[in-house]
Amino acid sequence: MTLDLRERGRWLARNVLPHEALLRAKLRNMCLYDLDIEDVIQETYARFMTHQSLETIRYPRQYALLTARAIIIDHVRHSRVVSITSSGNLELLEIPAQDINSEERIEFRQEVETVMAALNELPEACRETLILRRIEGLPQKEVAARLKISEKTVEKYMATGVRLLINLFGRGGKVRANTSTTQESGYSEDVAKKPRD
Amino acid sequence: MSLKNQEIDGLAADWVARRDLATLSDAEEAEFQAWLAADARHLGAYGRAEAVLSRLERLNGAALDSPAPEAEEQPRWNRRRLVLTGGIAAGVATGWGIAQFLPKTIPEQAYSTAVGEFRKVVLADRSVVTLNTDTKINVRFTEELREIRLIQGEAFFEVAKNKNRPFIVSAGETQVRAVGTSFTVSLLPQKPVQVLVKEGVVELRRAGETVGIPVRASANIQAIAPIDAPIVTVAVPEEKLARNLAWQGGQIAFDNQSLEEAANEFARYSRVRIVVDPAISEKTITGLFATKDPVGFAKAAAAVLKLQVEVRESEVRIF
Repeated sequence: MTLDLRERGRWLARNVLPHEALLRAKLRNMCLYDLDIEDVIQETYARFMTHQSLETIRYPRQYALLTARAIIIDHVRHSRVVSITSSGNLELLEIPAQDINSEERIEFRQEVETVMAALNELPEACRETLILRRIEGLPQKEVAARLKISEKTVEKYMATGVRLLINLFGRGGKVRANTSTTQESGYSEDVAKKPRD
Repeated sequence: MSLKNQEIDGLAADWVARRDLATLSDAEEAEFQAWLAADARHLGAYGRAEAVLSRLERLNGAALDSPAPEAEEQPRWNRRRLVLTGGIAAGVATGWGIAQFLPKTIPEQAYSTAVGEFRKVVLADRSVVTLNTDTKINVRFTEELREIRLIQGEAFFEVAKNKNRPFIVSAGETQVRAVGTSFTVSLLPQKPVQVLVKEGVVELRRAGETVGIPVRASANIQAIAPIDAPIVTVAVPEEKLARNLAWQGGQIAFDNQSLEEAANEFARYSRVRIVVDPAISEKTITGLFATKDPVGFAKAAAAVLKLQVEVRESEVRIF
């Protein structure tokens, strides 16, 4: 594989990740049957990772939605299962021509606020590690020394931070609910249980 | 998010962290490449994890490389501010539970739904009845019996356990007796009474028939009671059961049904008629659709089967 993963990641960070929550919301509205939304999203990213020339994509948000749509149609054609149920069906993933450019550009301030808000949700050790490594740009060794942790732990905190941020970014910043369910799982099922005699 | 996807994201995060912090050894690089190749989703998950890490650089990189005009008040990265605002995010308040007061004895009650409507009714014994489109039931509770008459349509019953007070649903000439279980009963025009059991066991017999052994139907069994033939039972696979109960979520499920049959099924739920060109009425469709959206169904079916759709005021034509 010759593609430069990090460069592509950087492009995705600017052009696709900020729209992931929108994409997920639209997919959710479609009520996909026997097709996991998360699979569609991962495959959408995969298509960007193998795209010949990302720089030629003028409207990445639109392109991401159309890619998801193409993935669903492929799935539908392949399995002959129509997976679209909602009122808007596939049209949900289309953007009216006059709106194509409207929300495409991500405002700088909004972007900074989103990233800060997400970082705030992380456990302190993960947050500190990510800040020292990726914002202040320190090498692993120095991050470890500053935080008085082992280099291995730096890696662990970083991976945990990324994992949590995947969820935080992907769900558009309504983040508390997601991080807390991992600790309090089972809560809603218990409450929802019907009384039986 | 399914566990599987979350696991993939976790592995992608591990790899991103490792690759960011140090150069991988040849063996590690081979391991990484093998992981990427193992599943089509891995590359996507990895790309997103890279993107997540890169996005953090917006906090410093932006100030350096983008003299963006819209950023009138470029906040320089400030860790203290981050930490200070950290504890403010509010928890999620969840409000569960509908407390519904119900008297112990109630006279006969009628419940119904219009075309395209659904309704969930909690009965006095805490059994729950879900009425599908265009359905009518009467409910009569006495000390000894819980009696429901399905007058037309389809209903799903989740019966609260009470051995001393059987729960009996009558539909046409058929009686379905349950103790604690969940099942649907349907009484539709030109069709025999059908009973589909999701949990537990029910017993079926003809009204007025007091001798003889009732027909038992347990979970994942469908019982069909034609007017002039014996009651028969068939096993129903789990997926089919789920499909048959899809209407409770306002959905309609098809598994290789002809467009003709699909159009008839939609007719139960909506005044907007689906008209299928006879030339293609035998083409089959599979999938889950919104009961209240025949037009959406027609468009989706046309997209898959490469057909045309014409939407008019009170009908939608597929050809």
